[in-house]
Amino acid sequence: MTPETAGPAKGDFLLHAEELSHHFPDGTLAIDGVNFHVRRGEFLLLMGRNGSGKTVLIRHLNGLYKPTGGEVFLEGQPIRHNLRETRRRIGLVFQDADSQIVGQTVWRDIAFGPENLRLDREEIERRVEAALRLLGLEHLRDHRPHLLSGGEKRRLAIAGVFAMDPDIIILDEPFSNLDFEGVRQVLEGILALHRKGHTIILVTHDFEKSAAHAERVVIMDRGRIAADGPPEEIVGILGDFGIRVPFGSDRSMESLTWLNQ
Amino acid sequence: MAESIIFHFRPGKSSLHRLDCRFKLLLMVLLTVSIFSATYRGLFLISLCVLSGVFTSRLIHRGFLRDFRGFLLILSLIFLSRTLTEGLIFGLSGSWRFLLVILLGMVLSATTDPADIHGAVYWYLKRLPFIKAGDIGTRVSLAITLIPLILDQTREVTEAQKSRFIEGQRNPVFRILAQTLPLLVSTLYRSREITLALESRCYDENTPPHLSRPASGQWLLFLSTAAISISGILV
Repeated sequence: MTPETAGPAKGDFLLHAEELSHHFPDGTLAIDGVNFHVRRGEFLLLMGRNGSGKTVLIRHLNGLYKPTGGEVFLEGQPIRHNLRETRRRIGLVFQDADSQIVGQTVWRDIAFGPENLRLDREEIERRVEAALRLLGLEHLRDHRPHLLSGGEKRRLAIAGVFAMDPDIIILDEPFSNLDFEGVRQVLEGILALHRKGHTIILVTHDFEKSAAHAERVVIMDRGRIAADGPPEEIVGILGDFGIRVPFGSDRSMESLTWLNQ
Repeated sequence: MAESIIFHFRPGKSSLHRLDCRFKLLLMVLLTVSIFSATYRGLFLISLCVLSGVFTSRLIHRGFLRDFRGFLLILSLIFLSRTLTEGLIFGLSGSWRFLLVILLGMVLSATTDPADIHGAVYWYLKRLPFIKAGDIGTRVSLAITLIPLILDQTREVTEAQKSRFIEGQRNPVFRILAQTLPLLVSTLYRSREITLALESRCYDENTPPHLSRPASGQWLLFLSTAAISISGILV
């Protein structure tokens, strides 16, 4: 377990950040010299207490925030050279689904991204239908998004990103404020995306809800990468970083999912 | 979710829902001009037209009156001020005209997806020189999207303050500040988040809208409504 990017050459990474820093105008140092990477097809948990810099980091990864230091690379190329293509290839699901949903029906909202990519009508319809099926939203296609349940809204936000056919999907605390069933529905949706080959970066506080599916866990603390390793190695130090340790110290990694319950 | 009815788009299949948004915007302008210039007989005709739109769009819904209370206050003020200065007839007609304009706005927002409004505004303005059609279309559709959300947020803030017994506060300035400051903060926060979300979904204001040719039935509805609004002025 190491807080530094080590091992394979940088060319092996689908996405990586080098010495990434961000100062807010009020002087707050949100992230400080972060080195971060993700490989194609990986399922990665990004964890840390509130204010540790997770959201700021992921908003740099698809170019929404511009770093005050360092650089983000997609397949070895700096993302700042083509932000539009970066945002198509790196989908970001916001923590507050209401901010992300702009369409006035479920169908229209999912079509929003593909329309912005100026795809032809048939391709837009094909992608929307595929997203509806994958996220189990077919029966809600004509519903108004703002009246959906919390879990349905999150799945809609994920469907909207999926329809843009990104390589990487980053989800910012997709389980927050959801009940048990809502968490299960969203988790099933995320796993369906992973099975289809999408690289997943899941920002969460809840190790026990999804750790069974993750290949790697990265912990942030005070704007830096504090730990990076497989879940079975990280589980023992969660408490040091203000993250809830799963109930039952002898639990197997496979049991750390809400889908088995 | 307890949300307000007013100014929300309500998906449906009524003739007004299906009517091309370019027609709707044009009719909106025509009818608004007619409402303020029509004689009393003309106003009667236009009122029938607007009220038929209200019923076609199924705007009257349980909870409508609850949401409409805020506008009743404005209507009462118009009625009182005009009655005191110009007489009862002017008071009645002034508040009635204002009511019709509000209802028109509600019918438009209830039956029109803001994305279609963006498309229609873009279509009208794209030929004009020195006008950023995409930019204006985006602003109009975003404003129409945000109005109901702000109304919902207003209600939530009001209820939260009531639960903390804001009525017990005698200072009216403090009461107003207690309601407007949280609303302002949450609206600014949400605006910033929506902007980021639009960027992350590759939003481009100059994306050409998907507009199909209006069917003959739509032309008929448009022309008949336009004729009523023009005759409202001429009668």
